[in-house]
Amino acid sequence: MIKTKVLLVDDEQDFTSVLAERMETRGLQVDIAGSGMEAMERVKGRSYDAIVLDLAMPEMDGIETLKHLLAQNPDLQVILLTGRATVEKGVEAVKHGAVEFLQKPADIETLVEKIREAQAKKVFLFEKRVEKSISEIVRKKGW
Amino acid sequence: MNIDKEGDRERLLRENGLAFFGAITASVSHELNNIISIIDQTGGLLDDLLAGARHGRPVENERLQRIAESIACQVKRGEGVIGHLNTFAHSVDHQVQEFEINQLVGNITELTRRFASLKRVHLETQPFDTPVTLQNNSFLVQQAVFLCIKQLLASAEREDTITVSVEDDRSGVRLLIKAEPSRLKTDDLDLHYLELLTGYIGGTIELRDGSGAVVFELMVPHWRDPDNP
Repeated sequence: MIKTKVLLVDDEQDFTSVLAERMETRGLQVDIAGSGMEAMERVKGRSYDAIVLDLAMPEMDGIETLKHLLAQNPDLQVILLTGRATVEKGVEAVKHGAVEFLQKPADIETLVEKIREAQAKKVFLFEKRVEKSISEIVRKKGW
Repeated sequence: MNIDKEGDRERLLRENGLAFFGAITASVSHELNNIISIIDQTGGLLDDLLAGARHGRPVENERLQRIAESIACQVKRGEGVIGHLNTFAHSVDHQVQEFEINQLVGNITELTRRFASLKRVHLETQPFDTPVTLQNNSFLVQQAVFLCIKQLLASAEREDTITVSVEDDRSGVRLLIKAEPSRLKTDDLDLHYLELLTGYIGGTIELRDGSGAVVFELMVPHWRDPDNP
């Protein structure tokens, strides 16, 4: 079975190492990035089913990182996991394309559930796009 | 900004004081939330390991030892943050009170550290070699130091250094808040509020730019009349 691939983006190393271990116990494959810049580098070389992103990070904050990531790949499924969960920030994050907004400390089972939902959405979007491309080809060829 | 009238000055002082208090407590609450999240996940990891042990996967003692150490480390980190916040909170107890300036500078610098970390800027202190006790408004002194650091941080870049040093002589205590290298556009600065603030503590503020560094020089008198603060 192919494992769900997750990128965990947070500058709190002690937090990411433990959370990654717990996610791996639940069958996920986890990579870690300590900053928004590092996350952007990571997604260049690998396809992720979901990205779990902190809001308050050095240099490039979560919203900025979110914008850059989605500009790079609009299909990315980004879940914001943050300690600064205000309604305004949540609305802003969703407006910029985040699929979910969770508050720290988060329940691991809820987080894993949201990641699996994000993965399902990514698959759905991919299938939709393939379907659309096929329809386009069929229409052009007049089949 | 018109701050000529006494009433306007008082209002400005109150509003900015609250904003300062809010900025510090918001930052500290974020830090504490991070600590709680780490402890929460570490406790969860322990649960996972115990659940595994019930299904025949033994847990190594060394692993448990590392988890215990990690929790103890976060608890210590949390105690430090709470200690700094507590000292800060008590600085509003009296308009004028006795305090040791090296400790005060150390405390407000620690509370400001997260702002610097978010820009990957080094924040350092250089205390005076002996303790210096002042009688003044400690809250306003901290606010002045914080605002100087904040102004320098606004133009600082990754790996820059901001140093807060304490010097003492007969005329008072001199706090030097220095950013290296110098990136601050001094023409864009509005020093009106800092001047008002330092006026209330009986001090002065100056900004120097040159020799590769930009420096706020904040003079604070040793003594302020408690009956006429």
